[in-house]
Amino acid sequence: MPTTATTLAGLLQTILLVIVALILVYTARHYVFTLNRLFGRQRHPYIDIDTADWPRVTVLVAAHNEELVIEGSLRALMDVDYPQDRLTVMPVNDRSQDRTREVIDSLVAQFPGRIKPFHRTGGKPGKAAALKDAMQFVEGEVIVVFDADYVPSKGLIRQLVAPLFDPEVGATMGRVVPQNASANMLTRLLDLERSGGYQVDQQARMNMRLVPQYGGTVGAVRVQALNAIGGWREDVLAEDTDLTYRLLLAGWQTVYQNRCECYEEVPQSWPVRVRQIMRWTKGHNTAMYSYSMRLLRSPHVSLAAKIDGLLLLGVYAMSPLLMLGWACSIALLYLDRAPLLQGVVLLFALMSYSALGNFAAFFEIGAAVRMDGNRNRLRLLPLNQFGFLVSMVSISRATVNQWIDGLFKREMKWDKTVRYRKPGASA
Amino acid sequence: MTAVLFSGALLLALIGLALLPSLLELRRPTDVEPLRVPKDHDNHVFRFAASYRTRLESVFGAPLQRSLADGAAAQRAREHGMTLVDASASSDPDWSQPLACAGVLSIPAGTDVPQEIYAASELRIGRASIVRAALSDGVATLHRDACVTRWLHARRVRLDTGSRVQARVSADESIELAPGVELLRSHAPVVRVAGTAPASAQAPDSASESMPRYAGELGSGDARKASSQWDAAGGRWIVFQDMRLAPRTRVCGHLIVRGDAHLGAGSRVEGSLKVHGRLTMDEGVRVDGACVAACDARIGAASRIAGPLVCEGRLEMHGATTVGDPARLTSVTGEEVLMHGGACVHGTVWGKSWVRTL
Repeated sequence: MPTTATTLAGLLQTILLVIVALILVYTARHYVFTLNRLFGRQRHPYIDIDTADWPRVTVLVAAHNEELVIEGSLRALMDVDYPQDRLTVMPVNDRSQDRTREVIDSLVAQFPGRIKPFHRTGGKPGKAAALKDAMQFVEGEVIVVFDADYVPSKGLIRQLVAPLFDPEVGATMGRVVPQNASANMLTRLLDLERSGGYQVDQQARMNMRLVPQYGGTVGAVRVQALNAIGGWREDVLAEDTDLTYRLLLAGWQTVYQNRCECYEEVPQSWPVRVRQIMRWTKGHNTAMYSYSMRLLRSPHVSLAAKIDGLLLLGVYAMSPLLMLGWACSIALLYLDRAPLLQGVVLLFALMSYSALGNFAAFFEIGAAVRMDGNRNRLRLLPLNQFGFLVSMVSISRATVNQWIDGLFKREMKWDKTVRYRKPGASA
Repeated sequence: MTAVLFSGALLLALIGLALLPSLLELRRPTDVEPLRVPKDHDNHVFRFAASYRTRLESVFGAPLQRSLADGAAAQRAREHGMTLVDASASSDPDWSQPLACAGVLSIPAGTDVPQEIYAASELRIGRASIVRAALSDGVATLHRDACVTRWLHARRVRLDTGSRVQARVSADESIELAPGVELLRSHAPVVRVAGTAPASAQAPDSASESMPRYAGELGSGDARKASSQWDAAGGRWIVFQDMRLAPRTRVCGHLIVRGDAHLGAGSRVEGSLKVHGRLTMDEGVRVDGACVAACDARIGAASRIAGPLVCEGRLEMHGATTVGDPARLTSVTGEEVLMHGGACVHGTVWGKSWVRTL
């Protein structure tokens, strides 16, 4: 007769093995993406479309208390290389309580007919809700979404719109580059992380025809596709992930344009960073609960894209699982019932993981930084371990909070990311 | 106790050693600048030609054709390390210097011109000459086996057989390509390969209302698994397998084929076309929107595509194929682009590896 301790140990051991297997899958994924970027065929099929009968575009600039940065963004948009008669810039001033409205209105007067502001004074908070309300004023076939702190280069709108000539493409995504990378250690670490995420992850997905992700800003969306999937959802915290999967399930692809680069600000303090991660976690997990099964059944998605799509949905679930794995290991140690994890097997597993598994994420970031032509910032790579730890704890906390919110039917709260740029400072 | 303390200190030292480069970089940053995103980047083919013209105009004044004829132009040229070539003079200028010419500039056969040059009127680049970059306000002709290594811009450009432009060539009016030319990126309201289409090739029928309409694919095997689907919200047909469109059939809406596609002669897509596999168009096919092929594509003679035309493999455009419209310029891009005699593009032709004419 097995004792309670033996049964518990067996259960914990099974959980641990499943978690280890998942970690290995994600490790392999890091390697596949990085090796693809280093040695594979790179796909940039739409980047050479420089001349075309361009569609009418509305650029939505989401702004909530953005008096410090909105002017730079709108001025840059007035200078972009896109036919003026086909471009409308619409700042979506979402219930701002600072001078955002004043700044926008002064620019409207300076550029008559080119900026059509939408001043939103009420309604549900959050970017998706604001964009949803703005859609009724959009004229044209394509919308481009920017955050108020983004400063586009001259050719960016054309490059973002070009893939939408493909009738299968519903959205495009450009690359965001931290503009305040030099501010402190956190921004430098986030610069490395972003580099890995875009230069390797997103581009590898594009190369391998998997699931590049729409990131919510520096991206274009086909209005017809957006309407076909029911428009923006205001009840989600990660409208970007949500949109990516709804488009995918309806047979629309998202294209990543690695050479469409645009500056953004990254958090400069750890509390702001933690809040950002927690918001992303809740939004991303909601998408995971909503779309995992539908993705598996979709006739529009290839097997490889289904696997990638599922792994992408599960990214934020891995942190609490990893913590659970640690807890299982400790419990098994004290229960002294871990035959599979003893002796030579354990030694080899530890050695293999230390040599390869732990290294995968760093390998990815290192490769990305090298591709960007940077060198000495790679010295900071070991410090990313601390960034990962903070992320892991924040994500786990957010996941637990989300379950509690779900239990008590509490509504999820939008949390705006702090801006740091000084008024008038150029990006 | 000592052993424990020693072990602890050793452990801390080892961890510290691993973090030492990071800590040094944090204390004395050497690589902190954000990745450079050029604000003025616009990706235009004539970017270099435009900036060269601006440089010349800052020296001589605008417009160049008139300012170069001015008596003081030679002096200004010397001050800026340039040679002003007198078109009427019989002397051979120093071709290794940056040159500007108020009239017709003829580069003798076999000459190496390593600097940028400007001709206010006609520019003739002799047989087997190599020119780095050239700007002309007249007609620029590359004679047989001549080569431009960086860029060439003129009012009109003619490339003779065997000539090459290794980077970009653009024109305000037209680029005429002889068979056997190789280039990379070209742009003009008309980019045409000399020659005609096969006599059998028939242009697309402009009145297609009488053509039978495409009504989806018949599924094979499991009848519950449809092999095509009409997506009403997106206004597009999605075909989940290889597809063969019968001749003179019309597809109302966009068409997405997730396999190979073969479009029969005289068929028409009243929207855009996307093919995941190999695309084959017979003669006289018409596509009213863009055409995107994820593998190789063969465009049959006398076909018409509104554009853009994007091919991730080898793109072959047969005679009298037309892409774009003089009033609506567009882009043709492919890994390798082969243009047969009579093929014409209104806008940009860009081969990632090469564009060749036959």
